[in-house]
Parts: sequence; structure tokens; C-alpha cells
Amino acid sequence: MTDYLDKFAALLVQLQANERDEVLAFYREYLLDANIQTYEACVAELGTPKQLTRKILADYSIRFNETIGEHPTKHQKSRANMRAIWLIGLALLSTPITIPVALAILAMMAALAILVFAIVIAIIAIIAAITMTALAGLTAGVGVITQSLWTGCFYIGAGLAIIGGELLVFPLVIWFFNLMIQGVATIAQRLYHRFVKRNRAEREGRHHEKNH
Amino acid sequence: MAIQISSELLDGCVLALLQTEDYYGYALTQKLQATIPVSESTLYPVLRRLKKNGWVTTYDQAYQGRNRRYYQLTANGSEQLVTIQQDWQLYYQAINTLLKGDAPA
Repeated sequence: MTDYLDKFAALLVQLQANERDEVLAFYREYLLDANIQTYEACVAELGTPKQLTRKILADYSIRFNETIGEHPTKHQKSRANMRAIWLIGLALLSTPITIPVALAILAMMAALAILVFAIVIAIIAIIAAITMTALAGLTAGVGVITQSLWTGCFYIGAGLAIIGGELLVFPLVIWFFNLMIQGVATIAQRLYHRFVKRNRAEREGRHHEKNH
Repeated sequence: MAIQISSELLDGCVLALLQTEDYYGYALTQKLQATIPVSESTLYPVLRRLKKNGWVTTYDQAYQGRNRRYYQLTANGSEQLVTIQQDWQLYYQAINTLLKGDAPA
């Protein structure tokens, strides 16, 4: 039973610590009450740790939008954003709205995706180019250092300075990437809500939740 | 049964069971399974949702050197149960009308 719960716990890393503890406590109590001891018996009762995890996490991802503002780490946030973009794309494809509108939205999303992709590629290319320059400087420096000490030192120094500068700018680039993903998610969500009216059952479901 | 139960109905079933007495996770699963086919792993998300919405509260009770977490219906939970019961009545009648082929022309 312990090894089953350990495996399960390891798969639940995406959850926040207190949520994870609560899930684990629930199933530990359940297995004890059910008097289930071996790993195989656990699997027979609850499914493999992976299956159980999928079930639990599915319940969380349905609400990815509500919890996004609470206390997610940056990493969780951009992952949730990626998932939002993906889900909205899928939802659009499965929604009975008029086809021209769907096509227009899809085209807009595609254009947006291409734009973002292009920017990302451009940034990566710039970083690669700068790194190459730095490496070339270093190689040249090492090559020349036996002939002219000071010229060699100059090239090596220049190369190291460029790499140092790059490392300084790196967090900024990552921040920019996150910002862009978030921006796309927001735009996609707005597009989605603008064109797709929720069906009645969904609206009522949401209504109930808000009431309490 | 080939028909899948919806999460609203499952909420209602759990709330209804908690109306008569407080249950811990395993006992609640057993109790549900005595009447409807639900899988052993289904209940946690349901209870989590009910608790988040303030329809149930929990308390721990020591049992053989460990804790058992009991679930208890709240006043809001009772109200919600009434809402679900009413919704179900409407839905039940509507589906029955259709299934019997009595739908208005």
C-alpha cells in the first residue's frame, strides 16, 4: 500500500502541497478502511497510480481558469496558459457555431500563433548569433594568444563579456516569453467568449457555483 | 447500467446520503455502490467539490490510532440538495416524456 501511495504522490507533483496532502490522506484512509494491503490489490481497487492521478488531475484542470489567479508559480501559470490556448482551440472545433465565424476565429488564432512563433524563432536566432560571435571571439583569442598576448587577451575578454551579458539578459527573455504566452491565452479566451455563447446547462452550472 | 451519471446527480446522491448520517470516505463509497455503479476512485473529486462549495464540512475522528475524516452536510448543502431534487424532477419528467414517445408535436 505504501509503495502504491508513494508512486501516486510522485505523480501528483503538479498539485500544490496542501492539495496533494489532502488527496493522499483521503486515499490512505480509504485503503486502510478497505483493508487493502498489497500493491496489486490497490491497483485492482483504484486503478494504477497513473490512472488514479489522471482522474484526480482532470478534475483540477476543468477549473484551471478559476484557480489561475490564486497562488500559482510562474511555471504553473504558463503551463496553465498553454493548456487554456489548447482547450479553447479544441472547444471551438467542437462548438456548433456558424462555420464562417469558426473559420475566421481559427484563422485569427492561426495568425496569432504564427506571429508568436516567428517572434520566438527570431529571438532564438539572435541569441544563437550572439553566442556564436562570443565563441568565435574565444577561439580566435586562444589561437592568437601565443603570437600576441594582448590581442589574445582582448578577444578572450570580449568573448567572455558577451556571454556574461547574455546571461544577464536571459531572465528578461524568459519573462518576455511568459508574457507572450499569457497574452495569447488572454486574447484567445476573449475571442472565445465573444463568439461562443455558453449553453444553458453550463451557465446554470456556473450560476450555482457562484451562489455558494 | 449503460447510462453515465452526471456530476450534478452524483453531488445530489452524496448530499442525500449525508442527510441521514455523517460518513467517512470508504463507507460513503460502499453506500453509494450499494445502489449505483460508481468506481472506487470517483468519490474524492466529488467530495472536494462539495466541500469547496460549502455544502459539506469535514471533521476528523480518531480510529485505531489514525484519523478518519467524516463528511457532514451543511445548511447550504441541504438547500442545494433541494435544488438538485427539483432539477431532477423536471429533467426526469422531460426525459420520460421523450422516451415514451409522448413529445408534443
